[in-house]
Amino acid sequence: MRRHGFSVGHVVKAACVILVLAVSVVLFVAPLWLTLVWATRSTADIFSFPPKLLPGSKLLANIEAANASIGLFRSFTISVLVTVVSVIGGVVLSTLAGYVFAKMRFPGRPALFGMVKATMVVPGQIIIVPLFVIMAKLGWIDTYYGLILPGLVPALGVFFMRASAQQSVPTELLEAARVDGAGELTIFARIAVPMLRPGMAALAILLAAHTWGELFWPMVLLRTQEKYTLPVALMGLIGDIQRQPYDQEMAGALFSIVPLTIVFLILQRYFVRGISLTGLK
Amino acid sequence: MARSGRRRRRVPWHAYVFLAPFFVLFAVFFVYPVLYAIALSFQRWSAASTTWVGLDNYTYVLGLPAIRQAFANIVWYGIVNNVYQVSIALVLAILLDQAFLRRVAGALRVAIFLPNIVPGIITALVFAIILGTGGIVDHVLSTVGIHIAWLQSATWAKPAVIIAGGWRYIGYWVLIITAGLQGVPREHYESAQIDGANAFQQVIHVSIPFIRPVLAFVIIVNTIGTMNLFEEPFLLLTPSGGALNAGTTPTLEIYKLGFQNFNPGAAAAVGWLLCIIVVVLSSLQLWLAQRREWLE
Repeated sequence: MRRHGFSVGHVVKAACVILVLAVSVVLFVAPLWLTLVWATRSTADIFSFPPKLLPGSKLLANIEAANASIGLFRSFTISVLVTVVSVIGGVVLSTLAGYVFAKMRFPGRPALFGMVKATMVVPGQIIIVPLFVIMAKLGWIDTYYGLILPGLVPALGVFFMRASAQQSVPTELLEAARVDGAGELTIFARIAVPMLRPGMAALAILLAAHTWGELFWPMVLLRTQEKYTLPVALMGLIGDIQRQPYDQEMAGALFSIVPLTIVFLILQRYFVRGISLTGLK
Repeated sequence: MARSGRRRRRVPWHAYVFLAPFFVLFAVFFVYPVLYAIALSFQRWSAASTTWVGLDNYTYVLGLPAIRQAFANIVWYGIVNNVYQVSIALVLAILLDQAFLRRVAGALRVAIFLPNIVPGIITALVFAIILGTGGIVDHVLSTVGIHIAWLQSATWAKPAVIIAGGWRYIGYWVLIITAGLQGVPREHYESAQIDGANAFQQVIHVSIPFIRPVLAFVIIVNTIGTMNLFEEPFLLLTPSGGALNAGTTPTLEIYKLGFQNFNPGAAAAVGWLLCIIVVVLSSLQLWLAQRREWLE
């Protein structure tokens, strides 16, 4: 290949690319940075101009105020527990199902998979009203069963893990283990799962982000304030437009953003790999 | 005989056992509610009694101006969201794929993706401040004499929803498009270079044709997602009043009908109308994609 010299044209082009990217990254990150800054400032500061771009000193005061008005710590803890249970359940069920669809042949497979496939186009919200009626009949309104169980069957997760298994679990390896007389559960747990870890990590992040931020279902299902998840509790701060406690809202926003961001940054290598493996199929 | 006997013994029961937990929950909490929604949409449902009312719910909801507005809006949102998000994501993904950025591209993609894990309610709260009266955008625009009441005006309500949604989702599309771009064989670029194609021509004639299946996938997923739009219009436009109807969506109307007016039949009818639109749209897109041999 011909080696390119650093001509003026190249430098100008590279500078333009860098400029466009720098501006874009700033635009994407700015709202996150502003959330952090606003959580540490008073409502008056939030709306001041020129804008305050560095953190202030009101963080603890805002957190305490938000905790007093909506039970920030309690709802945060509830959200953590609900998300952990939902993510573990959703990932385990999706991995099992996705692995079976990718690696086993059995009567009824096309029909069962077709059913999962069809749900991809059914908007989730269409089932909320009937689901609510079902929960009312089961006596599960305002319970965590009602909150968590419907979220454990993400059709997308089955797709995701099926694609993962097709890409990263060699069938010959499974056959070899069968010849050696290993049981199916052992094969799954000892051979498939370790290879599926990047896919499971990526799915865990997707499900965590979804469960953690979900508003519609918990908002209609939960009735007692003491049971509210973080997004539902935050709804309690949004009253009338004139007197919204924006500083408390931003303290709550910080609690909503920070934990997932940390988890994501830890797992991001897996996540990006998972997306590139499975995003296409 | 012996052979078929052995084969019968090979029926993989474990496959069904592995699938059972998923499908039991799936049947109870997804398939059954979907079927129940069909029945519900033909019923008038109250605590006292349930009566079959034929198509009454459908004619009722189609007569409501807010519902018609919601369906008109969702078409607008669907088109604008795709053009806005996918074109920006494509440009960013291509720029980030430049060889000289290899060292920093990963970190920049993560930065652009980060908003995707921010909950919808937080996105709405933050953008309500950024775009709201007395917010940064308001201040900046007013220095040049422009005043836009993003969240109150019927004209600007929908663009506000698009801006907030774009911030949250563009990074995700960048990751997916990047995965596609990295699959383009380097020799394709080299032979284009030998033919004298410049960087822009390489993008048009090499990259984009190669990643068409990926773009089709992004557009289909984005369209389905947009059809479910709820939190951004609900929270950006509700507290400020006024603009809510201008920016409303079918899902928002399902919420209002089902849980504020306690009319589950009407809510289910809107749900099914939305479902029909989504199925038609995504089959159409899939058909177009397959027809052009973009997919598979």
